[in-house]
Amino acid sequence: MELRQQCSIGKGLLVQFTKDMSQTLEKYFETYASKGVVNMEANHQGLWLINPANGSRQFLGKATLNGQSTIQF
Amino acid sequence: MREVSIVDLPKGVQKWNLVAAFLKLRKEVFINELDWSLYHSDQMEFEQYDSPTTKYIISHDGNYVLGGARLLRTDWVLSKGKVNYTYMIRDAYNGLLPGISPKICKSPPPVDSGVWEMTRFVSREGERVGEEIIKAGIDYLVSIKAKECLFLSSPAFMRVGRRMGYKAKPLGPIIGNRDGRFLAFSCEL
Repeated sequence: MELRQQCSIGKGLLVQFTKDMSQTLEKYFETYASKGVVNMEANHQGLWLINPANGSRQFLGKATLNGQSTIQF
Repeated sequence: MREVSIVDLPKGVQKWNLVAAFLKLRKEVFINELDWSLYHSDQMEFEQYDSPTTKYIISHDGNYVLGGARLLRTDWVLSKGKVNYTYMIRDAYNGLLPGISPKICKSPPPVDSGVWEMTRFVSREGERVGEEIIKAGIDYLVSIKAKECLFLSSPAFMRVGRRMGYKAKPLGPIIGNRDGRFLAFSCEL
């Protein structure tokens, strides 16, 4: 079953990264981590790191060119 | 006591509450008051140019934020992915920013480690705070040996810069959209 189909039946969410996005995440992981966990948010603009102290978002990147969300159902 | 701080990550993490307050001020001014069609969430206005590498110039009295602006170095590529955002003026010139005409610049905007861009300027305490933010930003850029700063703002903002003694020159024509009139200009440092 394709991942997109799995997502559509509620088996999970697909979040897309490029390599440089994962490198940025690694670089800033400790800055954004709370108890060893980093929270992120996805919307049509891309993926966002969520600052655990105040909820502000910083742009991590956008893996797709087509204008769709990087998170697919 | 009012002061201006330059805040960036990771060393500025203890002051990141100021950035959150600055994002809230942007939401209050740009969206609530000026009715610009910008994305917001949790009472904060933010976009792709607010990344972990962005530097912020913030005027504050303790934790109360009076104004601020955002600094991006023009040779940075923001987290890339497959969408190569750089900085506002260049992305507008390259047609990546809906609502801002590619005619904002007459020639290709620079990609240079010595050239920075200041945008999202906002102040709630009038011109004096605004001038302090501009001066702090320029002083910071001079301290790191930057050679030029680009601005995307209202034409009035360029007049303020000139009145403060900076040699500001337009990079293109004044353009208009539903949010107002904008101009890209440059100051040698």
